[in-house]
Amino acid sequence: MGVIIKATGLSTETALHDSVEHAVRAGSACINAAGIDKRDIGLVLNIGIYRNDNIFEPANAPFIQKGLGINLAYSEKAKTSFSFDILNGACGFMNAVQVAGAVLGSKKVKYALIVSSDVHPSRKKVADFPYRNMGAAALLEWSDDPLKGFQEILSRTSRNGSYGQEAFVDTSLSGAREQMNIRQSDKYFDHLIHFAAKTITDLYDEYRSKHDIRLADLTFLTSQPIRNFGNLVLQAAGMNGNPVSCLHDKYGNSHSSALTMAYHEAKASGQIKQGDQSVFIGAGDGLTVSAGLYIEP
Amino acid sequence: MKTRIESLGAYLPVKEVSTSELISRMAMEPTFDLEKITGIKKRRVRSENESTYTMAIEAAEDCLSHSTYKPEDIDIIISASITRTKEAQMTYIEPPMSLFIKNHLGAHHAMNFDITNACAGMNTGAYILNNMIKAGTVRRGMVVSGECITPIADTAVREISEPIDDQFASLTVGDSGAAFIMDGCGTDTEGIDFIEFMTTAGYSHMCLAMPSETGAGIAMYTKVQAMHKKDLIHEIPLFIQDVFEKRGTPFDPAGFDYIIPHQVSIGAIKSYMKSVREHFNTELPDTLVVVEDLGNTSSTSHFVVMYTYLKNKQLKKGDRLFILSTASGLNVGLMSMTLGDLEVA
Repeated sequence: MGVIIKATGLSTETALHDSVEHAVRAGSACINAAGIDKRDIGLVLNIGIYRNDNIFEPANAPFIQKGLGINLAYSEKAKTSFSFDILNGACGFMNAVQVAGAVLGSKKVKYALIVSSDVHPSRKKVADFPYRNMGAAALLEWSDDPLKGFQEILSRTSRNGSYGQEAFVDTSLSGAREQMNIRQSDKYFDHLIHFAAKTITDLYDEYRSKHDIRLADLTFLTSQPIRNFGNLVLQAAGMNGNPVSCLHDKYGNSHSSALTMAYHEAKASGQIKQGDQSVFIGAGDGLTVSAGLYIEP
Repeated sequence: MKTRIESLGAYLPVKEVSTSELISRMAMEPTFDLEKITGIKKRRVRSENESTYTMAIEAAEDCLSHSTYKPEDIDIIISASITRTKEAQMTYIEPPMSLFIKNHLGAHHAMNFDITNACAGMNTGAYILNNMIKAGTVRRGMVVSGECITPIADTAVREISEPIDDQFASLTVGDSGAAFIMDGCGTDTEGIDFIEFMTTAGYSHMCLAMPSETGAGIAMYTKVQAMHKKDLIHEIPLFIQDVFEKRGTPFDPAGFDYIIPHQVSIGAIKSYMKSVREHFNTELPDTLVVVEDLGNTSSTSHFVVMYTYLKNKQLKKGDRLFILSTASGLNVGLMSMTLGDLEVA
């Protein structure tokens, strides 16, 4: 595809329960790390799901764009940004990469910023809310070398009739700004592990026919819905022994931010170096798995 | 490679509610003539068993019934509604509405995600598909929105208690569903020339929709006067001018048969068109509106207009359309296209 990650940023302050502010802090760290002119960010894609007050109009992306101070008003011949939300739970990052890749490939936009954050809508710490309040951001740009950056992305949803986990709010009731109900089916995580393993096996077979890859060389960057999720998926796929991001102990379930966070940490620790091959694996309710190979530029 | 709208579908609930009927339910009726100011006489309203999901399914199935594609041929389904209700007012946060729709249609090969971008939802979906098809990421896809937006009007009816209230704009909306399939089979005489958008996020707090602050239901709070200030509206012709200049051809209204603006209200549409007319100092093609009979159907509005005028045989193959999006965010979007041979029921 030729889409590369130029920089990433995180926002992990545990006392902060604000979806816009987390994404803005992460975005700001990312832009600073990239050292770019932020006016060149032509696309702002927010993939965060759980947001302040359960607001549904406008998208969260314009609030984040505003917080980052990117092309806020228009005057003749001014640079512009387009911002909106892409919603697909733990797999939103992969979808946003696909959308950003298509737009960046047109060369009309120089940079695309993917931001994410999840907080309980009440903006308070709520004991049974499974997601860690945090934010992440990744700045993408186009590379004319198709063998750098993201390669084809494969997305699958299960057909077994169970969505695994559902989140919903009864908006006919008072106080819906502060409510979130999450319902989980029996053995949700077992099913998710096996569904992800099957998808990764198929993806690996497909990539092997197109790319010069060896299983032993791959680093796996995965969603973190439960402790050790990545290793459990690889074990189920019979792909033991590879480096896997295991950040659940450090951050908990970081949901829409998990893939950006896994990449950020792997890059910062030196686990991923130039030319290295990583496999991003998003997995969550639906059941939905979305995965893709990334070749570090 | 040129994309096109291959097929179009829509769904309008049967029940009609007049503006006078809606106002008669209010504890405090407006001190102004809402029907006169907005031009909205009536709107369609969901029945008790209808939701975002059911209206999206109706529209998607209608679309597929006029398509050469079967559900299994679709590579991507994007749900673009603001609301995401499934049973009554149960709003789904996860999984995405697009997955429920995809499973119902049996579009098992399609990838799916939802987008949210206020009233620019379906046009944002068109922007995404236009880019993804041209990039070769997908061959064809569906954008669908079942917009069950009238609960904000119900809340406004219950809660408005002052002569000036940010919820008055909520009385303009109507329910609907719309869907289209886009593919890469455009030709010299059919298809999408371009889609361009900008978000001037400095104004992102001017229109907010969320659960009510004080009671039950969802509510929308709009700074109507601020949103329609002359300086802000003037960004529309400036953006049009710049987009066309960047493409190397000055904006020529004579190159279009019709303009389809977002269906906010007759007053707002006139004000947009006046700004464009004065900036370019030229007459504009006819503006297509359905807002008098259907209200502001939010994310579906441009495609409900297209559907309605095709159904009445007032739009036909070869017509050149200039589609203008204006939405919370604030978003301004432009789409230039030539209609193909679209059938609607």
